[in-house]
Amino acid sequence: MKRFELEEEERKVLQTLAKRGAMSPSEVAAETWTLPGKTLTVLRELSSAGFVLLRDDTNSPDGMLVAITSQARGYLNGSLA
Amino acid sequence: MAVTPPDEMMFGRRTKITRGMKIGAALSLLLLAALITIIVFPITATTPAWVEPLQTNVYGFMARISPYILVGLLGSTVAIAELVSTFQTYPREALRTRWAWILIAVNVVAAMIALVVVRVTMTEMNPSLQILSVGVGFQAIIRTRFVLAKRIGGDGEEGEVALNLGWLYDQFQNLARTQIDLELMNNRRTAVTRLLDYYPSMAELYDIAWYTITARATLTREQEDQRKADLEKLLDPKAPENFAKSSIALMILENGGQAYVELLLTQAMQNLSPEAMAMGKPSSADKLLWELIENYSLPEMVTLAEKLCTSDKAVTYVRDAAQPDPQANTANQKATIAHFLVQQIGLEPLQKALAERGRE
Repeated sequence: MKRFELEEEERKVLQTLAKRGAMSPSEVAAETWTLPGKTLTVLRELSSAGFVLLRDDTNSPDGMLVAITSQARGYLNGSLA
Repeated sequence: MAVTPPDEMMFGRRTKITRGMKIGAALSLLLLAALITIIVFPITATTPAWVEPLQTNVYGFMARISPYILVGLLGSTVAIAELVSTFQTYPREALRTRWAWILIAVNVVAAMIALVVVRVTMTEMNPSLQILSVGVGFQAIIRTRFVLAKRIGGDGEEGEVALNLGWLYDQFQNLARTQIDLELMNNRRTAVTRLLDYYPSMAELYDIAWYTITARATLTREQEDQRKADLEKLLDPKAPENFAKSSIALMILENGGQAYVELLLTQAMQNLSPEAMAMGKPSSADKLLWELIENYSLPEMVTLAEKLCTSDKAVTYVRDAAQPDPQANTANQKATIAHFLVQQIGLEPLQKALAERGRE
């Protein structure tokens, strides 16, 4: 995982996932008061940086699931910062 | 989804502790207590005359059979240790299978027969040494391969002259291990299927698996990290969804054990009970979410928010979220607003709104 400077929205998304566990992107958007399109953009960026895992989930209302990675938890806790 | 009462929950076939077994165990304990009482009963001037010969006979009998009991106990301990180390993830369940009992019984009986042979053939040997040599030595011998000659510079077993006394026991042990594994496999499959029935959401399964690994007290930091990394791999977008869910459920079972899975299923059943439904437990929140998404269009969701939300900021968020956005599709927008409304307004007003809409 390369060094990554987190923006405020990205940090907010990661903190929500670390606190609440795996959820759908729409739930992340609702929890963080971020608009759905913006949330998906942030999640895709975080996914390509290895901070979150994003995959299909037919059981979720918006058909997707997102979970924080161990590396991102470490990053949030300051161990990699 | 079939809801089974918790007291009927049991995975696959396993050796049940029947009433007969419990009565047998209680009688054995009573017999043992009676024998000990007779042996240690103090003989005084007032003791009836028949007590002393009885005590002598019982003591003599116990002195004759105790070596066999001792070697039997040693044999069973070794067999139990073998089983527990082989099935480290499910030791309790493995010990409750039929073949585990057979393996333990074979070890006990073999040790007792070995003691008979030693006593018949080595009459001069000290009795304590006889017990020790059979209890420890016999267990080692039947598991040992003696190499009598080995080719110089040879690698592996090729070219060796060996006397494999453990061959027969190896064959039997392999048979028992396979049979126990098959019996546990049946239990594992049932447990995984039921976990998937009661926890259909991958997010929930993933969180349970994560918590289970974190909560394990005996894992080292490295083991915990490795298991979490394995869990994360299961969320790989390339892995088929059903495979990912089954594997996560299996991971919960392997890390938490069967009793923990039973506890999770019991909790899920309680949440699905009519009483829990009436109290608005989480499962009804999920149902409400789906109903909102299926019954309302985006403009209707905005109207609903305007009607029920008390905060202007929340209404503004819903309006913005409902605006056309090239980055998000309608399903994503509706799901976001539905989650937001459940958080901001709560279940009850939304349920009422849905009911009113149904009547209209």
